[in-house]
Amino acid sequence: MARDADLSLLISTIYFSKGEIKGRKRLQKTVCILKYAHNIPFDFNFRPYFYGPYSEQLADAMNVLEAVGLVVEVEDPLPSGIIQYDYFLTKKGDKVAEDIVSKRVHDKNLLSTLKTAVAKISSLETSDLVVMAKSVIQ
Amino acid sequence: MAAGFLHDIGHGPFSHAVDFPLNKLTSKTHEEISTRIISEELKELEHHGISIESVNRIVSAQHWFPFVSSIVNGPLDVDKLDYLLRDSHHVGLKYALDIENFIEGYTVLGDDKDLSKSELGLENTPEAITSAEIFLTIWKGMYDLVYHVENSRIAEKMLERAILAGCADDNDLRGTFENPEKATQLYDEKLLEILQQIKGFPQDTAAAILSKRGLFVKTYDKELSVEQFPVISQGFLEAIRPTGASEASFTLSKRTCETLKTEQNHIICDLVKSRVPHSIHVDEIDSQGDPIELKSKSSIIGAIKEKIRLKAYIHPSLQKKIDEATLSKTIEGLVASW
Repeated sequence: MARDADLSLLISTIYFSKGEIKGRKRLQKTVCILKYAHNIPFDFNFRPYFYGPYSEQLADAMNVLEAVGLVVEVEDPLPSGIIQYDYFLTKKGDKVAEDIVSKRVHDKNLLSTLKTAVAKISSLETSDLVVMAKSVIQ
Repeated sequence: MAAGFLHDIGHGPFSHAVDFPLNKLTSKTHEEISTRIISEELKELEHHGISIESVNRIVSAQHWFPFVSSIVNGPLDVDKLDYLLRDSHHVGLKYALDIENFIEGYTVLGDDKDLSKSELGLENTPEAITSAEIFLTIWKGMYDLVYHVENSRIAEKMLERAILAGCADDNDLRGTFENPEKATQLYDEKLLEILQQIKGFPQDTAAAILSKRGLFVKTYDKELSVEQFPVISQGFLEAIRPTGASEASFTLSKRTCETLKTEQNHIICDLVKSRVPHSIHVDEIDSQGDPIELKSKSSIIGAIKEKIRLKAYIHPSLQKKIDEATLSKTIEGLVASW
């Protein structure tokens, strides 16, 4: 994909995660690992905070996707009383993702790499993702 | 303290209103211009025991200890504490926030032994969280009620275009704006004086701003969402990515003028994003040992969502020539085929 394809890659990432990513932390660590461990060309810059890498640009991009109605952020109150925010593709978001995946023939290799990497990452616990994200950015 | 005083020294006249043309003509952000001025013209600081490298790292958000940069540039930065209450006072809005009390709630999160990964956060107390809610509500309110208020926004966008048009027509102005040091030496009145001398759009714009007459008229205003727009192409979606809204607005304006065969700059498209705070953590650890986001502790902060509106302002002379339906069809067609 061309440079400046962050939002398309982000939509595709959620799509390959079966249309949802549970928790802002999981989203941040997933994209960080995709960028640094799997060479998915996200432009987002991550900072190596003590609690793991974090990208304000990624948070901003999610705000854009939510604002235009391709992603919805849903409150998920945890037993601890804390609210976790989960991300889901909307129906339109799903359609956009399908278009990206089916029509971007020239990006097939990249999308195939992304799909495989997301499948691996999806099987990991969030705590393992945090450890992995910390290791890839150091 | 030095970084606090100097972080905005790289602004041109009219401050943020001129960020886009300045960035377009110099390929530098105002933070980059600030660090260059500090390095080249304020070497004297070193004689007073102030490290220029340290000041520049704070200004460019690259300090060795991230929480230090966040004090000057971040969701809880003291710049906002300063300008929000001052600006609200000057426009007659009676906002109140006990700043000293709010700052009492600040804390450094992370490992004391490794400050290179630290961040500025909040104590986990009801006082700190409620103060943050008040602060962020004022911050958002100031954008909705003051900084993005219609005529002010229209004047800013006209000024942006007038500078770019002026630089295309006038070698002296272009020379000034291509040289960051010269551009930052310009002051508001001087810039308007220069624009008044460049016939056509720059001159008309300066006159409109000074007289508050002849400002463009808002003729199109719609929420940019898949519910409201028939099609938003992937290309447009990428173009409005977080840092691209100004450039996308500029290109869309140009294409709209071309499609409707109006004079250049007589239609200005404007993507206006409402403000949402960046992530702020509180000093409470979740089950995985990570700090909890303020958003997860405050339903008020959680309810602040970004909205994007696409607006178009037209030259007063076009009011009888271009109706809203034509403009709407043109803009939406361009967004769909981007």
